[in-house]
Amino acid sequence: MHTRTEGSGVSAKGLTKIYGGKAAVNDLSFEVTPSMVTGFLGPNGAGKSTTMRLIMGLDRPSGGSVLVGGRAHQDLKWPLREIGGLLESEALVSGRSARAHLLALARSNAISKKRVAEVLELVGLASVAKKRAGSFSLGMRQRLGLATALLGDPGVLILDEPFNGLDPEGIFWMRTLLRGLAKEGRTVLVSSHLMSEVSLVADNLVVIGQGRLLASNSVSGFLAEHGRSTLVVRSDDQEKLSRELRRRGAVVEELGDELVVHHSDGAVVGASALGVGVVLSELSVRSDSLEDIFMELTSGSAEYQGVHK
Amino acid sequence: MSAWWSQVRAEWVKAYSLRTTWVCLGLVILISIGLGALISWVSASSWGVGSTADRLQYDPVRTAQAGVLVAQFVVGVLGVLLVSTEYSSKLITVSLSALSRRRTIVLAKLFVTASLVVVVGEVVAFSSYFVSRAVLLGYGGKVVAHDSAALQMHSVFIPVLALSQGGVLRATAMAGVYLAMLSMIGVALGFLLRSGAAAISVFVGALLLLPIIVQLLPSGLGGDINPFLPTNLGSAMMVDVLSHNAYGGNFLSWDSALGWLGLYVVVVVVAGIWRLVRSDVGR
Repeated sequence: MHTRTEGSGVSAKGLTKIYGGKAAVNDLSFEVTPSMVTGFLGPNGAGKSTTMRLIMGLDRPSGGSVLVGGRAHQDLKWPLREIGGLLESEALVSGRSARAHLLALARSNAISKKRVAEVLELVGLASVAKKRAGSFSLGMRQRLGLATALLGDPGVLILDEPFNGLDPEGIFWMRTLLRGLAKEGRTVLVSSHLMSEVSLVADNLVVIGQGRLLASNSVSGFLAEHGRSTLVVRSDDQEKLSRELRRRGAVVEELGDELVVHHSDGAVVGASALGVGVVLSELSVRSDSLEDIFMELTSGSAEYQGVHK
Repeated sequence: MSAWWSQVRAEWVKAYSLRTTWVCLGLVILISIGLGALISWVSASSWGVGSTADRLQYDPVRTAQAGVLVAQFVVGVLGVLLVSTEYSSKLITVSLSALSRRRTIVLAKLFVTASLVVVVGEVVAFSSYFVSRAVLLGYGGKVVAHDSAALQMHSVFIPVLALSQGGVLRATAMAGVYLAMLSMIGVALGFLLRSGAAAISVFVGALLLLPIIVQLLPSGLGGDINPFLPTNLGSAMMVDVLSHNAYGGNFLSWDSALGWLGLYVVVVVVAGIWRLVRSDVGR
């Protein structure tokens, strides 16, 4: 294990990538900090994979830059030792064994044979190391992809949809591993199109839509900034209460025998009820989940949308 | 350790861990030695029945290397496949993110492929020579002196040329070199075209179709181009001095043929590197 230098995060500045006249990534700036798991979210086609390919040096930016520990990918002498990526879990030749796949990559960055055995053990593939990788299930391929990313013991990890194809146990294992990797001081960027996949593991969130940055914040900051809470109220005279609440500036929806109150808080509802002499039978707070906020934030930027009924 | 050497070691692991490599090299060994022996046997066993013109044209050294005609396609396909499997599997994205200098990946793959093929190719070339020589001697062949007087003797008995005679050692060694150079063209076409089907088509087209097209040209122009076709450059490299004279103006001298084929290799390699370095990969 080599020691990681402080501040070896990922930093994008004005990053732009144009494919065939269309900007897949558009003036994107964000920071991914070490010792944390950063969720990289956006609907399908938002530019997540393109951004990750730019970070990994596979595509050249059309404008702006993205640096890993202050350096561009092409300036790294042994890239696998600085930055590990899982971009395509299918990226293996089916006739080659898992072990040979990793050994070839280890050789390319002067990494020891012993490390190959270590990462195979770490991702739980040691027993099938000599089997043809083509016979692997999607979950096993994801594990092999992760082993590839970890091979050089890098300080920065870029993982594109690592939860794809994993069973519930595998998802739990992946989350635990990602948290552990961040705790060791690594920078971990994990993309997903599902908030629920990353919300349990991420400390920070970067949300993009149509190639543009929509939000970049810690999870708690994200909730505070974009989340809204609503109140659900029941009383013995809903009509009178809603009239009073509206007078005090709240937005009130009547849903069956419940009042759903926006732009207000419990104290205002209590005071209103007291003022008009209504007895409250229920007063509860319903907060937007990260999922709700994510849907709200990206609703205008999803590339392909079904019809909502 | 230098980035170059570590990449060569990586490419070596990739090459030996792919069954295709061993299937192709095994085919080269079987086909080359087998076909050389077979054609030598057919020629020798029917020596008495053949026409004088046939006997005068008989070239024992090149006949021993008859298998190269088939092996050249096998090594080209091997070169292409070592690259195209990386593209079709998207492994190329991993290979490139593990490497900061893209040119190195092309050169290392060329180096490893050509080294493998040249070793196998030389073993095969000299095995073919000795197997076919044994066949000819078994049918009463005689080691002839290497001069033009010997040419007349060809009609009398089956000629066998010793390795020590003019250009025979070089002609035999060039069979392995020719195969290695064609495998390099295969690798470079793989990087240039990225698709196995496209690269193999171009490779086979250059070897098989170009001669047909050139034959359709007016004979003056066709005759000017003919010696520069890859297959004819290979033949020029693989004929001994005596036979070279017999072929007249159809072949360049062996060393300029080697130079021209080398130039073709360089051109395709530069184009392959240019495509890899210049463009985005694997999207």
